[in-house]
Amino acid sequence: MATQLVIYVKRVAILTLLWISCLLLLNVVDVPITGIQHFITYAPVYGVFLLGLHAALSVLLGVANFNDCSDARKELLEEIKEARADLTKRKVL
Amino acid sequence: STVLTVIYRNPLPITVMTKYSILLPTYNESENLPIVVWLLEKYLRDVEYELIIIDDASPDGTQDVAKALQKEYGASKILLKPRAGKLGLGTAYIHGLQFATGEVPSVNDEQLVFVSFVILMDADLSHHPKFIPTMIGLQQEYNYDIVTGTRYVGDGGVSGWDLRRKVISKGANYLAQFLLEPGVSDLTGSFRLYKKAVLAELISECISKGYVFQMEMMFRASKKGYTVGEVAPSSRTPMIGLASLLIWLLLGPHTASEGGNPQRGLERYRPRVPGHFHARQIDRRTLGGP
Ligand SMILES: Nc1nc2c(ncn2[C@@H]2O[C@H](COP(=O)(O)OP(=O)(O)O)[C@@H](O)[C@H]2O)c(=O)[nH]1
Ligand SMILES: [Mg+2]
Repeated sequence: MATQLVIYVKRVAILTLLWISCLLLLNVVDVPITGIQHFITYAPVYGVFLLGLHAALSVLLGVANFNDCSDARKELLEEIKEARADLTKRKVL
Repeated sequence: STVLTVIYRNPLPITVMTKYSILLPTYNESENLPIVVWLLEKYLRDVEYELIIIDDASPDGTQDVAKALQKEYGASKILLKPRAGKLGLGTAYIHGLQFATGEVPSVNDEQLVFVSFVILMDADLSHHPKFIPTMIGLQQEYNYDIVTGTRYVGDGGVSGWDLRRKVISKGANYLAQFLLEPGVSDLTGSFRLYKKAVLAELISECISKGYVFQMEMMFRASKKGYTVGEVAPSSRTPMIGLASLLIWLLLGPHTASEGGNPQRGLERYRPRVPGHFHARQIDRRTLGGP
């Protein structure tokens, strides 16, 4: 478990470093487009938002595609009946 | 290992003898147990297997039912290894594993190799024995260390779950996938086939009990680099990693399915010779290590 934590800390550290260096770069280089400036400054907020969106969409899609398999249930009930009959005949039940 | 060395030196095809030990923990399953046994007989007619029933002193008389079944099907096919009290699922597997009689991997003579497998399944009919031949076929095709079965009855779906339970199930799975990145889509399932040695190793290292236990086993297995095959319906929405998140958002969900295990999907690996898996001739190239 500890190693998985280390992997995560590393990733967050790399992303943070990347972000900070972009911020520093913004201070030095004069970016004429305000949109890019805004995006870089608030990148972590967008990141978290996208992550949340991904989570919500994945869970929603998963729930929507949940396989309810009522056919399989029916088939199983048939087999249960068959099994009971056979086992009764063999005097196991 | 010894097995591989001998195979390397041997120019002739080798016969691999396989045995499957099914561990079946039961607690108050007197109704379901006979059905499970009957279904196993129906679908594993040509597979060499033994069933180890670990009953924790069920008050409903599961053990009497088990004894009757043993009498009918034979004591070499059905082994009864009860315990005195309800001690939980995790330890039930450890207990049952001791009695698995399949040979440990060893070389008998230069033409014959024994490999043993253990199958874990629930006795409450949420795991259908008809999937076992598919799991066995998949294991043999790719020499997987572990194969996970479909979690629910039928083709990977559930029957009679309400919205709340579905959301909780999907949510928990998402969180586990995101944090642990096990590379396996069904973490909590308990319908699995293991190489016996792999199961013994993992089980001895796992510290959690109860239902987290299955997750820990899978997590450890994937971190150790054991190969895992999944028998799962292809229609499931795949879980995707952080790296593919952007690509997914840019190109739409249809591209995400390409990133997963190419062997997923029941259609891809119907057993080629259904049932005839207990002894087979293989070319030495097909028996690679993990
Ligand atoms: N031996 C033994 N079996 C158990 C115990 N608890 C559950 N089982 C069995 O383990 C299987 C799965 O249990 P279940 O309650 O359905 O778990 P769930 O599907 O994860 O909710 C069933 O076959 C139960 O009969 C236990 O304490 N001891
Ligand atoms: Mg259950």
